[in-house]
Amino acid sequence: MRERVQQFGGFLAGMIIPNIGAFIAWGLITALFIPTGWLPNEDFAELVGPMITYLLPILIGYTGGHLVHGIRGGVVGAASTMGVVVGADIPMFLGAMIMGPLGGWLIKKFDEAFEDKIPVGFEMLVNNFSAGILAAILALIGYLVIGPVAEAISNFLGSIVDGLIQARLLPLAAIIIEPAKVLFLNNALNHGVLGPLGVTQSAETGRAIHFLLETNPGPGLGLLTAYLVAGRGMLKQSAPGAMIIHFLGGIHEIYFPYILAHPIMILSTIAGGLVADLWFTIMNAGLVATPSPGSIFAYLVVIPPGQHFAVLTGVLLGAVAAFLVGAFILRVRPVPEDEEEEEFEEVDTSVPGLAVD
Amino acid sequence: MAQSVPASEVKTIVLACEAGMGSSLMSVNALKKKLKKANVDVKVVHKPARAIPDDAQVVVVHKGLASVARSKAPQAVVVTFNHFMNDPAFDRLVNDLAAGRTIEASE
Repeated sequence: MRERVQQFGGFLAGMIIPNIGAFIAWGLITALFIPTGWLPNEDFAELVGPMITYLLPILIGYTGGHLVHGIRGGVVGAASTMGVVVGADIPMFLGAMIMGPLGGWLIKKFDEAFEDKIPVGFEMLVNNFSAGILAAILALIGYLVIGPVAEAISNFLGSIVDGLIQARLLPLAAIIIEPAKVLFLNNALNHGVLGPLGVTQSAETGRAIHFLLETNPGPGLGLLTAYLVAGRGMLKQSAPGAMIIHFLGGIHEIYFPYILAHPIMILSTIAGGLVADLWFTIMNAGLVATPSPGSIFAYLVVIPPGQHFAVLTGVLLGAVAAFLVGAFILRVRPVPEDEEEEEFEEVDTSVPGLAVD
Repeated sequence: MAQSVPASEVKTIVLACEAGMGSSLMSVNALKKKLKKANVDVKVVHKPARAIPDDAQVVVVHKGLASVARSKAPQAVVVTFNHFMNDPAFDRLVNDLAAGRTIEASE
């Protein structure tokens, strides 16, 4: 079951992750050149709308189709995505994530069905026109059916998140997000769910809180600091290196084993996330785009003007809360001894020059 | 699912993580350094767990993603680790390769 969720989540995230560079390009241009940006510039700002309306969804559609059936699937996926993009009023990420794989899958089925039945010499004709006709049909279906459905679902999900924010309940999301991260669903959540929702918001108002929820490097830093101060053995010794890789490098996975080795420590990151998200909610904080990876350096690049205090304080609060809870737990309930030994048993160092770093 | 492969046959190690660009890439560099120090000539590549190539021989992955890796690469020997830094699994792998033993799949 966990494997299926990871695979599905991985598929969703896999449509977005290869295109992060384009997302970041959009984010940078938005952060710099929109009227409320760092260097407002009307001409450059014209890029913002078309990039998020056309470029990003089409890239996602292409990648989705590509995952299913290579370049051919990608092309059909991308062309089909145009249908949902044109028919909608909001950036169509959900639509692209549906149309892309759908187009790829349908052309794959077609290719499989007609593999041996094409007369010699007609392959190129059939290949080109099968893809073209299918893409055209899908674009129309996208425009008429899938677009409106995707828009409705996106708006529905968006309004749920808005409602949660209004009711100050969004912080509770940390209770879902932090465990999901540790189960390696971090990318699926961040890129597959929160990102698309956030982009829609950011396109309207210039920032979105969604980008802060999974990516905040504060809680993980607090957790690792707790191990540094109140931990023992190898977990304590390896904490400083992990802190650098996590907070500066943005590779959050590095702290997952620290929770998996002593699961009750999940309370540390949940506390950190909860406090930080509550702060972000109260301060109406947001980032321009997804900071990828979740590094403080990436954060500095995507914080919009006027938001530095709100965002960075949230990171700090997340770290402090996670540290306090984590250190307390480690004092009251240290990592079981045998667990520690099992993790870092003695290694055979018979190979000269090789030792545990 | 492959249980073991002789070290002499191993040409490439696949380091898998979830996205294929974060922790796996980091681990690739660390592993390459260890292999170089031990004079082991094996290629190391990083991939997302869902895209492990069909001809992968040895796949190294965090135990949280082991089941995804095993289902994507049934022919490969899947070696798991618990910690991204200083896990004995990495050194064990390098040792086994250097000494010409067999690489065993993790439980």
